[in-house]
Amino acid sequence: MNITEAKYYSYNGEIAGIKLTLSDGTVSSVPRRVGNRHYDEILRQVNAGTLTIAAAD
Amino acid sequence: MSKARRLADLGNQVDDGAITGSNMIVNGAMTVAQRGVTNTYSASDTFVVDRFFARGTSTDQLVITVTQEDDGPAGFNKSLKVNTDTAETDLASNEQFKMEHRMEGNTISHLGWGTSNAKTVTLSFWFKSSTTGTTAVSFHNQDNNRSFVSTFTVSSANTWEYKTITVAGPTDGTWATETSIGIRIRWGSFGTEFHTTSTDQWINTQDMSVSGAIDWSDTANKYFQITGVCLNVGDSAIDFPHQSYGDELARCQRYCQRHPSLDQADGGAYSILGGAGWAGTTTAGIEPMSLPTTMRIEPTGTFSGNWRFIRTNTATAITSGPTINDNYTNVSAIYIAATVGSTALTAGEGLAITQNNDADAHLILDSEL
Repeated sequence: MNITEAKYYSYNGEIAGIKLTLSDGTVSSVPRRVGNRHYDEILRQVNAGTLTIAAAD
Repeated sequence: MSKARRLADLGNQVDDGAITGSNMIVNGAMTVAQRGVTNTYSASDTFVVDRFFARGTSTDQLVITVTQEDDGPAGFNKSLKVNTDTAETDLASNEQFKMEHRMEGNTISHLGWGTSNAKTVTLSFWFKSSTTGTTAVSFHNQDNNRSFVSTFTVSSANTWEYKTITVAGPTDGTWATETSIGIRIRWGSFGTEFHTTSTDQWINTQDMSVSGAIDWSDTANKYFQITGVCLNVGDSAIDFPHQSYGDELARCQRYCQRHPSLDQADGGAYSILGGAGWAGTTTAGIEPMSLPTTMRIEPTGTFSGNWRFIRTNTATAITSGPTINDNYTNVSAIYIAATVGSTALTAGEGLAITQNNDADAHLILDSEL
């Protein structure tokens, strides 16, 4: 999975998920749930030191 | 009617395929394609037909296109085609060109794999290839440390051929029995790192093919097609148990849902998404949406196109989002959140999200394995 960016987003001041951008431009809302394949891949890359989840605006 | 007569009728019904067994493969007839009928491999697993994806792993030049084809052997109207658009100049030892079907642990828990009571299964499918020769299909557990590789031959190019593979259930290894990956089944071309000489037996590796197997990646426009994929308990293949489109769609929706449906006939460019929502503030609204099928896990949401809020007969374009609020999302319902560019909303008022003059605007919910 070629991830360009992972960034938290919020709703009414509360973190509500992770905005995932892939290298083909696809943008998705990823829930923070272990077992979701996108969240698992984000965690894998974070743990490998190759990805940082940016803070929400 | 005599017992002998009833047994004879039963035998005829079996011969005619009117009585068959249960298929553990979802969408084996390739009829459901919620994401569309064509896609090119890019940044992630490439799904077209539901539940089957294609991928190049560690490749350099390879570009593949996956399509749902209106082509199949007798009894099948659809198939999945994987075509090489741009060839890989050299399929290196660690490179893969594959199509994979992942089965949920819940689906295979009754097989007892990894125990002394492991059941034998039989895989059957129709296969068509631009190239003749030997190739393989392989079975794996979630951790990719158990594999079973079985070869089969493509005898005639561009011709549908029926293949069956019987697999003795593994009595060791870890095989998931809940919502994670129970079994992986793979077809394709693989570098030497994934080749084995130990076919038709369980081995403690991630091998997927054999030396000399067909390489679909080395030349543009090489392809393979597949349909009628069935995995049943026992040492012989059953007749493919065709499902209604609605039943198969419901099975697929545990892993992927498109809203509005690709099959929508009404709504024009203004189809509604979800149910009644409300404005939390003057700039932000939220809308709950019940899902038609319980999904495997809380899904990833990908919105495409233009959306708007409808409220008191007024339309207000959404300028940020929609997104899914995971604090209130579960496997049977999601919360959609979005904002508008001005203080156009009235806090507390009712609203709904619809397509904004965009018939192709849609949401894909993904809980694939």
